[in-house]
Amino acid sequence: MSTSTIKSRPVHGTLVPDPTGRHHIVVGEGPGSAPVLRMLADPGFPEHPRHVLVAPDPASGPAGLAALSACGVAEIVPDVPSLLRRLDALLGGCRMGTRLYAAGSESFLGAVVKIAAEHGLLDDERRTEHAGSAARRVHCTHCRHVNEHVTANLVACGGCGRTLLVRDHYSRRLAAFMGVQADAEQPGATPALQEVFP
Amino acid sequence: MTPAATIPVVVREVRPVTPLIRQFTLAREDGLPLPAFSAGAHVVVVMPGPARTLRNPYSLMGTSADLSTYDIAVRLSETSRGGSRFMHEAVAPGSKLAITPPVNLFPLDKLARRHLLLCGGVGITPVSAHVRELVHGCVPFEVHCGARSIEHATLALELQAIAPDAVTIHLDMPGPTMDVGSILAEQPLGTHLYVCGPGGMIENVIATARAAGWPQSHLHWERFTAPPAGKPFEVTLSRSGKRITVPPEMSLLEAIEAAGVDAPFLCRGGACGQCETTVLALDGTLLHHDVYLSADQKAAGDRIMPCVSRADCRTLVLDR
Repeated sequence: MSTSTIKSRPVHGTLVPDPTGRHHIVVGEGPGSAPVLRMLADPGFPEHPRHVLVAPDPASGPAGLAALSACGVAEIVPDVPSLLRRLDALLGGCRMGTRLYAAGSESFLGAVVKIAAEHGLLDDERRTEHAGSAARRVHCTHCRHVNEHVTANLVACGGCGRTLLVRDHYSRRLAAFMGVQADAEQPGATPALQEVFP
Repeated sequence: MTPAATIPVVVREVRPVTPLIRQFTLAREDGLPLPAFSAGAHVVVVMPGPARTLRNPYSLMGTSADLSTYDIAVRLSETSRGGSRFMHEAVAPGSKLAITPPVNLFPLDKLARRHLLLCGGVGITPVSAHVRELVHGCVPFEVHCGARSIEHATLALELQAIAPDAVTIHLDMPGPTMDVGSILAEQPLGTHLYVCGPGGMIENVIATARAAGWPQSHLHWERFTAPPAGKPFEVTLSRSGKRITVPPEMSLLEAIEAAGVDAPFLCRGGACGQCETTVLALDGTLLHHDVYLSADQKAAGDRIMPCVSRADCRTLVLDR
C-alpha cells in the first residue's frame, strides 16, 4: 500500500468552536450533519454572526438531514455542488476574522478546503472533521483525468486506462490524491487489490 | 553565519532624510554586484567602532532590480549603544564598512490575497522594499505610515509618490493618529498584516488584530531589539576553554566575539534563533530578552540567545 509517511495527506480533527473568530461559517455533507449539530449545541459556539449550510450526500439523501432540519438553524442546500457555489460566494464577501468549519466525506472536505484556500484562508482559520465516505478523488499524473469515488488502493484510470496506485500524496490545489502507474518501477508487478478507502 | 562571510563595502552616498534618519548607499569595494535579496531582507553592518566592533541589523530599502548598491536608513538612537551614533557621526562618502549577506526574516507572504502594511518611524525601511516589490505585482496592497511630523515623513512621502493610491501618511498631533481598529476592521479574507515600528506600536497593532479575530498565520512583524545593558557577569566558554567578562554595555554575543570565538548569528535582535546556545551549567538566573524562545524554554534555563540576553549569576558555562 501507499506509504502514510507522506505529509501532504490531509489530517482532520474534531469540530470545536474557535472562540477567537468573529464570524463563523459551518458547512456539512450527509453524515457530517452529526458533527455540525454537535458543534451548534456547544455553549461556546456564538449565536451570531454565523452561517450554516448543509447538503445531503448521494448515499443517504435528504432523510439523513432530518435531525438538522428540525433544529432550524441550518440552511439545507439541494446538493454538494450548490453548497460549494454558495460557500464560494459567501467567502467572497467575508472579512478577516472569519472561521470555517466543515464536516463530511474526504472528497467534500477536500473541495471545501480548496475553495477556502482560493480565498486566502490558511490552516488556522478552518477546522475539518471527517464523517462518511473515505473515498478519494484521484488525479492521474499521466493523463490528468480525475477519478471520482475511488475506494481501493488500485484504480483503472477513466482517462488513459492505466492501472493507478493511489498514493497518500495529496494536492490541495487540485483537491485530489495522486495516482501513478502501479507497475511503473517493475512492469507487471502490481500490488494486490485492497478496499482501503470505504 | 560567521564574520568571515562579510562583504567589504564602501559608502557611496550619505543623505540626511529627516532630522533623525540618514540614508546610506553602499557598494561593494570590488565593484561587483551585491547578492540578490527579497523585500523585507536585512544586512548586519559591521562597524569598526573606536572601542570595539559594532554590528547592527538594517533593512534593505530597494529592490534586487539594481544590485550595484544597497540602501539602508539609520535612525539616530537617543540611547545609542554606539552603532547608530557611529553611522551618523563617523561615516561619510568613501567610508569603508563590511556587511553580512542579506537574510529575510520579514518576507511578504506569497499566499496573501491582499497585503496591509503598517509602519511607524524608521520602521518604514523594510516597507519601502515591500512597496517597491508590490507595485510590480497584481496583489492589492494598502500602506499606513506613521510619522512625528511632515519633516519626519520624507521616506513616507517617497513611498506615496511610488504608490499614491495605496499609501496613507498619519502625522502625530502630537500623539499617534493611526486608527488601527478601523483600518483592520474591514479587511477582506486573505489579507496579511505586516507591522514594523516602535515596540509599543507593534504590540498595539498585533493585540488589536488578535482581538478582531485575525489568526496568527496572517500576522507578520519585525522588531530588532537592541541588546539591553545590564550588570557585568562572567561566562565560561567550555568548547573554546575561555573565561570572559561581559561588561554592562556589551552584549553576551559581542563579548564572545571580542574574545575571538566564532559564534553564529543572523538578526542580532533576539528574533531569528540562529545564535541559540546551550547552557551547560548555571548558578543564578538567565535574563532572557529575546522573542524567539517560548516561555517554557526560557523557564527551563538550558539555552540562551546571546545576542540580546544576559545573566545574573555566579557561574554560567556555555557550550561555545
